[in-house]
Amino acid sequence: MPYKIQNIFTHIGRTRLNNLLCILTLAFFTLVLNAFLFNHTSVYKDLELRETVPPLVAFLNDTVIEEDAKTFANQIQKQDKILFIDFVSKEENLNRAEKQFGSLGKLIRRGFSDSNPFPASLEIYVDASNVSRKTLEEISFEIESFAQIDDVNLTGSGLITDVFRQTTRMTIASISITVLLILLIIRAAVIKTATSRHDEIQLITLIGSTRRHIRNPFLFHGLFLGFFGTLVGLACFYLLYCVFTYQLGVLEFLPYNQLLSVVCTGAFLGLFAGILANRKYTKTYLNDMYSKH
Amino acid sequence: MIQLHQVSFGYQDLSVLERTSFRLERGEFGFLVGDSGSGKTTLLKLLNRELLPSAGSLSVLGQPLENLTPSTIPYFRRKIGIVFQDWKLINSKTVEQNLEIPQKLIGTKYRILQENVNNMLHQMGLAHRKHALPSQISNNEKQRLAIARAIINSPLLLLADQPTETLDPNISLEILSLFDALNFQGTTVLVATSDPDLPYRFIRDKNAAPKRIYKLQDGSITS
Repeated sequence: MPYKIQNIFTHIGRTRLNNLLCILTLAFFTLVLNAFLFNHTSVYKDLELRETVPPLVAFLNDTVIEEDAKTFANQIQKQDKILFIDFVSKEENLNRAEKQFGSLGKLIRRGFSDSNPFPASLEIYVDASNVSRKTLEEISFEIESFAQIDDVNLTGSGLITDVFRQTTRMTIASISITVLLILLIIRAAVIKTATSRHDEIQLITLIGSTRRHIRNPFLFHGLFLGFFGTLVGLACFYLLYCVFTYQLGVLEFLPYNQLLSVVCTGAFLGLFAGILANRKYTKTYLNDMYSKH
Repeated sequence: MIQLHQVSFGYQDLSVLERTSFRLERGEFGFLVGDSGSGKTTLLKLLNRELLPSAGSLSVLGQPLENLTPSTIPYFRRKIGIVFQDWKLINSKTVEQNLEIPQKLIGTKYRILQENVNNMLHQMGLAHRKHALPSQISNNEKQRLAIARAIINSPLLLLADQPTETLDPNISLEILSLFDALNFQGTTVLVATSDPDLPYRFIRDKNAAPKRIYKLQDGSITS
């Protein structure tokens, strides 16, 4: 085996317990991060499913005729948070119920051939990116107070957008914290390993080792820790997912591209932490014997 | 080969070398004699480009050291063999593995490396200790191992920092004879010692050719 590669393996193998502890710690943080990602992905999928559903449905009184309803819709559409309003007639709502319930729908149609019990409604679309759950409820109360309105239904579509925003914020925060922790942990682990073979590094520096030769084990050690730390974290997360599949219901595991990006980011962060560790070690322990002073 | 011109060096407020000049030609054997703390080790560190002088110029193997760049320093150091005062043996590696380090650094092929290491182990009388760790061998053997490691790459210049410090007088002379043989083959040798009689004893007892002797005192060198 070429000495350069042998040197890298010797370096990594020097402090096995240290490496193991580092990988387990990284795995734990990756696990927590994955939980946030999982939550975020699930909320996003839910959001996608409800994308076409209006956040508010206002059911009109049966006494309101179509022309009046449309005028009323135009009147409330002037509110700045409402994007547009669709009028859905009684007949259309009956058709939708027929479609929604499949074979039962025909029974519904037959049962209500004389009189249609479904009310006409206004489907109210709001600017979901700027409307919080509280605002949505306020709009709902406001609309409900009109005499033409029988009831207002919050479908959850607007609420999920709000939840998604909060989840995104939490996920970004957790990613930032995890990235910082991964960098600090790997850097500390690489420096610890390097100091444990300080005598050898110092010697080879003095007898003609190149900077690259000194630096490479640091980089590969960081890469190794970052890669395996995140990989073990993902494996543990998958294990937990399998154990709690029943409780999680229909929630799917993280998509492949997300899994891959977690491992790649871990490896990249490890590499970067290795560079940081090398800089720190060279300055502190080797007094930068290569520099021009 | 080695040329110091008005070289000064100090650690913060403590001045170690003061406008020191000396010259050692290619193929020569020199002794650098000085009391403990006189600056011998500092001078050798300057020659290996571990330190840079605060004033003056320093040239080793024909290269002005102040002109060396970070990328050329390692290749410069590979031409020099150093016997460190504290040996700097790797305690986690066996005698054989310690000896392999310089050869591996220069990328010697494994078969040739094995041959060179075995030859050196035999030459230094360490063949029977090749699997032992440095902590399991005597000071004398450690010293021989440190010397073997310094010369295994056939350096152009050998710097030895008090190589006979821990050895008894007879073994000290044997070690110097080894350096003398190496010098005979063309390697320039500079041995730092705190024993002022050692060079004379060596020349007298081993009937060796006259050597250059530099005395380091109060930060200056006299020959």
